[in-house]
Amino acid sequence: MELRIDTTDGTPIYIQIVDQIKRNVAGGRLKPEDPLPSVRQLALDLTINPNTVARAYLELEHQGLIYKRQGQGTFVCTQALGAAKRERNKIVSGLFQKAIEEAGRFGMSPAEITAVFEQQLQHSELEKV
Amino acid sequence: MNAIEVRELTRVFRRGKVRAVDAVSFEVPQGTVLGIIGANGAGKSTLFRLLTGHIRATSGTAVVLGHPVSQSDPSRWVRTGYVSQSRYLPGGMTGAECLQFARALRRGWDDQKVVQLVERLAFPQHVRIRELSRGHHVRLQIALALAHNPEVIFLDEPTAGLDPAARRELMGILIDEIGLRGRTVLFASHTMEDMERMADSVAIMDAGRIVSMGPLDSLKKDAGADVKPASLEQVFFQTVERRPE
Repeated sequence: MELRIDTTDGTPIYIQIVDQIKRNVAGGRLKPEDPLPSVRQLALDLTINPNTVARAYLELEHQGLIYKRQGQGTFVCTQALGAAKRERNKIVSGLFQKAIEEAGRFGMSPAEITAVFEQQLQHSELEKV
Repeated sequence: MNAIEVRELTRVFRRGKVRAVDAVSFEVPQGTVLGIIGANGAGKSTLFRLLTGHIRATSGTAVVLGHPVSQSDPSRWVRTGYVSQSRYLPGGMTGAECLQFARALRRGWDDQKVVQLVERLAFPQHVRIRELSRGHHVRLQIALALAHNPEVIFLDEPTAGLDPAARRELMGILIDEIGLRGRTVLFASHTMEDMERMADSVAIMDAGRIVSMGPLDSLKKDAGADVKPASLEQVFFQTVERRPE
């Protein structure tokens, strides 16, 4: 798992960590029961305050994506995939919502929007299902 | 619990003509990092010298680890570490001699830690201090400041003059001080990225006063501008420019 933070992004660093770990879970790069790096290790890797990493982990724990095992570290929860996929759907829905609103302002009909969407999907590099 | 508590701390110079630190109040919870930013001459270094007992306050109080800061209290050397901006170390000594000298004076000196610090900071130990570059001088200061495992660490622009590798190493050392040992850090820097990465809260100083202070996220959110700032640099310029004269 590779995380990246951007200090000029405006999104708090702990939220950048939370989002990226969720993406890693939803994308299958982090599987249930996989270990996460220790707070110290991730702080060193990203060169950030360990309190910020601890805060991100606490947030993920509250959301039920990860859990701590006494003395052994932090791991991905079994139910994490479901939660992360719901989160993923929320993010992608939000993006579509914006695109649909924009299309509406251009006066596009639902059929036209669907056509553009399907065209884009065909052009994309996504694996065909 | 707060490691540092400062109330209306003031220091005037030149018989009241210059208010270098002007009625400053803040607290730093134990185990957290307060970053201080401000232009040259904003009062940051004077604040550090007040909090480390190097100069006396004109008025107001500063309490560090439950003790009022005073010049006559030698325990402050044991419980705090200070990296200052001035080159105060004896120029005729080598780094190794300086460490030996400090070891004899300072209770709580941790030989094992010094070995690690010297290795991580990689400065020439057998060169006279007056011949050290600014960066190597700072590295020696960092080793001296942390060798006795102080609970509160004062860093006045520690990254100025450090090359990128040394800067990263210093950050790594700080990450361990905060994460493994729960140390409290007061950290002044002109490098906004250092602040974005390391500070739990940030105080912006201007003309001796703290004009804005809080967790970085809230400073960005609360900035009184139409366009919300994305970076601390933008927060800084918005805050300092908007200050009424």
